[in-house]
Amino acid sequence: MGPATIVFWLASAVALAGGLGVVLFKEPIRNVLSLVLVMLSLAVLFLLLSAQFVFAVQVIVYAGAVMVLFLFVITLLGPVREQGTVRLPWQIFISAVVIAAFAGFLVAMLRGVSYRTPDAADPIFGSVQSIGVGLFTDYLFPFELTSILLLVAAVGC
Amino acid sequence: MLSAIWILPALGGLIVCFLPRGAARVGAILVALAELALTLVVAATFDASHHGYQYAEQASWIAQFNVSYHLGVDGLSVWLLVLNALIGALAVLATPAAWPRASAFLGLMLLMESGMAGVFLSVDLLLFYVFWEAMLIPAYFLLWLWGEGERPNYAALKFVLFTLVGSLLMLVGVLGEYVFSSAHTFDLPALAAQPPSPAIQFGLFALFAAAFAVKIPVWPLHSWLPDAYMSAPTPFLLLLAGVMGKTGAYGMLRVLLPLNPHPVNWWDWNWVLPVLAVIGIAWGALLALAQRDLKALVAYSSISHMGFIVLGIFALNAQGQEGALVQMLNHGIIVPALFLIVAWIYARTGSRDRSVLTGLAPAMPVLAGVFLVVTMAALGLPGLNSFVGEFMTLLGAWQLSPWLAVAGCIGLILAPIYMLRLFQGAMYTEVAGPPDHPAEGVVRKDMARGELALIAPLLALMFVLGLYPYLVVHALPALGQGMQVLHW
Amino acid sequence: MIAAAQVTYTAAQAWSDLAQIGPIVAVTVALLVAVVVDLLLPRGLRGPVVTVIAIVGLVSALAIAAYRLVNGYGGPAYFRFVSGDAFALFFEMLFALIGVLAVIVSSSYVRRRGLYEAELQVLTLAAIVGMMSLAAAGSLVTVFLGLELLSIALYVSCGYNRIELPSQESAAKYLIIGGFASAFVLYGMALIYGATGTTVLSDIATRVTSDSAGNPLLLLGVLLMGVGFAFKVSAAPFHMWTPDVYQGAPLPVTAFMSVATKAAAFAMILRVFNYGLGHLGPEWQVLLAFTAAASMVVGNLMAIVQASLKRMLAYSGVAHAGYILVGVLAGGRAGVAAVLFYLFGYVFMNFGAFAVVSTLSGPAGDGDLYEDLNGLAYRNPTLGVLMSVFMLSLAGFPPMVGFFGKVFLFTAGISAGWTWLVVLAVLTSVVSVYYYFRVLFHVWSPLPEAPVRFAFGPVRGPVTVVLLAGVFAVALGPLSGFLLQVGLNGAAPLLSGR
Repeated sequence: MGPATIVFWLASAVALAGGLGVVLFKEPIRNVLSLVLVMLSLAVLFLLLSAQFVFAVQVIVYAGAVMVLFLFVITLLGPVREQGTVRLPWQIFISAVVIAAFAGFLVAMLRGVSYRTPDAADPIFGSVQSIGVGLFTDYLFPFELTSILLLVAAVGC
Repeated sequence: MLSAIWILPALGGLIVCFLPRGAARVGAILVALAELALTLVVAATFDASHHGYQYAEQASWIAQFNVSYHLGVDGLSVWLLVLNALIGALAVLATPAAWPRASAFLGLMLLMESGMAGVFLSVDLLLFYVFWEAMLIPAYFLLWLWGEGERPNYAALKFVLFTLVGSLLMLVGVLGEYVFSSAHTFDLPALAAQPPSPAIQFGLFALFAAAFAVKIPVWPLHSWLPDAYMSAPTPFLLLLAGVMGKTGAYGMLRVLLPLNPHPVNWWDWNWVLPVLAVIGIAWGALLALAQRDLKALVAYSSISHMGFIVLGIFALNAQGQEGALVQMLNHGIIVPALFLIVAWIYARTGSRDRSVLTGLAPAMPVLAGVFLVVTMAALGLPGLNSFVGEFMTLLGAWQLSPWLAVAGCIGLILAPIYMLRLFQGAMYTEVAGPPDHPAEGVVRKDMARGELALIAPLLALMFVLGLYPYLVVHALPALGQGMQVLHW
Repeated sequence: MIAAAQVTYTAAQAWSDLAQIGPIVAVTVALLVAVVVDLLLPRGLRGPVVTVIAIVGLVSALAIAAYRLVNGYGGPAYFRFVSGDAFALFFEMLFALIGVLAVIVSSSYVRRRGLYEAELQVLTLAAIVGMMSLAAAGSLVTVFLGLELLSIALYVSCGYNRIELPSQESAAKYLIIGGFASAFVLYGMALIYGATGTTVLSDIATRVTSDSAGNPLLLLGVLLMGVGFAFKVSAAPFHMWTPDVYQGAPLPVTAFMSVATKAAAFAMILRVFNYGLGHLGPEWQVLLAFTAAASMVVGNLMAIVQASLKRMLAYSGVAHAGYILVGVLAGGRAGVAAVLFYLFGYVFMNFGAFAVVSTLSGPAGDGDLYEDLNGLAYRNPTLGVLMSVFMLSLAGFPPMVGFFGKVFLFTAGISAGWTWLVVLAVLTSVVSVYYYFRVLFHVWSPLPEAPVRFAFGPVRGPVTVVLLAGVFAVALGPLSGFLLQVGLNGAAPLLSGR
């Protein structure tokens, strides 16, 4: 088990914990901070995949800008503790069982999969240049579609 | 020519729907009479020595699936077309001018007539199915919006759902014919030339038979019939009982037998249906015996009579099948007449209860006379039309199995009992107690001239077909292509 | 250092690529213009002008698609991430058409309900861009982005009536369940990418052979994507969101969703399963056959007990998804063509029915109970007769288009050996007649004694749509050969790759 593997498991565990925190905490501030945790650990995973540019963008844009905006909004509105009580006691149990079953199913299916050997990596893989070239050649259409998607999200807000 | 036979009432019906009341009735009568004239011209110029579909029209419709717009008449359909037009005309004439929402009613009647004409004309299986379903829509509305009794909606919905179960199963059969026949077409002659294997035929037969058996109806699929007939308004009932039931029997002769001549796998379907038919004959007759309501009595007797037709068809020999066709025409003439008489008695006395109606003959002798003729025709008196058909049917059934023929005779024996009891009771029983206490507002007058004129063609046909059945039988051997399975 | 990426992309290729996605470009341009115009114009003018822009954009998209369809259609564009083939053009025409109908209906509706007009039209345009991209997708990336674009536009549209709680509930439910479904799809796509090393569908089609059936990655990917797709087409047992979302959303949005989302999701299924994963047919067919059977049974049975027309039509939509899946299962040219035909015809009958119901909406709300239709045939004979036409067509009566759609679907189904499914479809559609005829019962019942809750507003627009839909629903029946030929052409690109 090399160091990369250890970092992978560590970052994954932190990401999962952060995700649980987003769902389970009752104070909005803690939810947002958990989300920051998720973003940061995802950034680590990107770095592990040699995607330096995405790593940087993830940290600057998501964990930085977007989450700060979130915090602003929440503090402006006044961080009110969520008042809900547990209304669906036994559904929680059922969903836990279903989740466990699904996870078990995934593990059972994916054990012993013979994974494809990865394609030979581009020497400039992960660099700003390769992403720039990708965005304006291969991924031009999805890129433009994404911009419309963001526009619509803005209109919808 | 043939296109005109279904387009004329369809277009006429649509136009009539939007005309004001008075004009609608005149328009509908004109359309119905023109339709009758058209079919009579076709029947008169029909060449009985020519084999194959006559006046055929063929055009590609949905080329990808080899669906064609293919119409034609042959010995099987030519007289049914005339019957449809005749009963349609009578039904329109029997609709009083003061009928509620008369324009829509008459328009829908013409649309239904158009659908049934289409069924009799189609030589393409998908086209046949389109008309088969299309005639159901106006029938539903007629039965529901103008129905009598407590729950016309219930009767109409029951009618539609029963029929649809059958006809949607038939849709699977129709598509199955296309897929499994090596011809890959919907054209009836081509399909008949290349039937699929007997095991496939076995399945397809069941799907088709379901649709036709519901429509006829064959026991045990008859339970929609009493409800529907009881709540149907008289003019619509003429078409429903007189013609629509025949489309089922026609479908058996035109589609079921030619396309699936050998439906044998786990058992032989050709033996199942005659047995059901015989059960239906006895069942209908016994239930008719038990009815007090005149309309219900006629309805159940109708089940019994339709049993003879199915028995004749599945005798699978010339006599039986010719008898079945003759009987289809006979029944199409007698049942409308019976329902008309029941409606007239009801209009005069306010009752259809057999135990209440007594001694009507002195007050209305002409009606009594007409009723007598129709009764005699219905129970199969020689010289009147029904005798010929029933005789031929039973002759055919005897060749298939004497037991079936003997069992079928139960219907013949019971028919005089319920029919004569009905006639005698209503017309000639002495009125007990003080003479004649008609209820308030009941008019006991004899038939009007218009009513007599309405039923006169039916009476005339009863005699004509009884004495000269050759009139229709001579056309029978002129069958269309692919109909060789009927050895006429 | 710079030597790595040699980009060769000429201007001529750029033009050709742009022409391939012409209809998408037209709608996108209309969308952008509409957004800007909405900001610039004075308040009173915004709604009408944006509506006109939307209609112009959609009609030009329709014209471009039709033109390209007639004058030789294209193929892959933008490095095979999108395609301008006949399949894409068919759906682009379909979506543009639905868009025009939806824009007209919602323009009248929002005015009567006192809502903003412009934004709803912009959202509709955005959803259509997403749907068109989805249908034209040549890669899983495009599929997912199109799916998200249409979903996000629709989440917002569902909650468009901000002051009404049901509308909010509808949006929230749709958002959560839709997000869930998207996650499933995305996970499935990731696994497929893991197994094949590409997201481009034509590459997937060549790399996934029938030998790959044993690859757990592929199987899981198929399973997860299948679940996500089933959510999107609202097929049972993943249909639970449909009635609640349909009921709460504003009526034109419901109408739009009920036909357009369904068509888009089926386009996606056909692209990904029938084309990309065609060699795994036996694997995904098991999944879809179960879903189809469950949809027919559940949809038809649940539709019977509904009191609201929106909910009834929602469940009927579940049932129709089941019928259409028969065509997907049958596959081949006939099966795919039957699906395309049915989706096209379904637009007219279902949208027409919703448009009729939408005429009853007023400031007080949507009149979507059966009782609100009482005596419609006498209050407004045109609407009454056409509503009957739509119901009969949905029930599959000839000579309406719904009948021929079923004929083609079932023929393909029987040919491919799915006879049991066809028989089930036929028997459950008998059940469907019961609730469709219940609508007729109310439409043709005598005028109610009490004053009606919902009278007609100024509804010229919707009536035009209803008339148009009615004419098509009837006329496409007898003329079905033409549309079927278009469908057969559209089906061809999905089969040529293999």
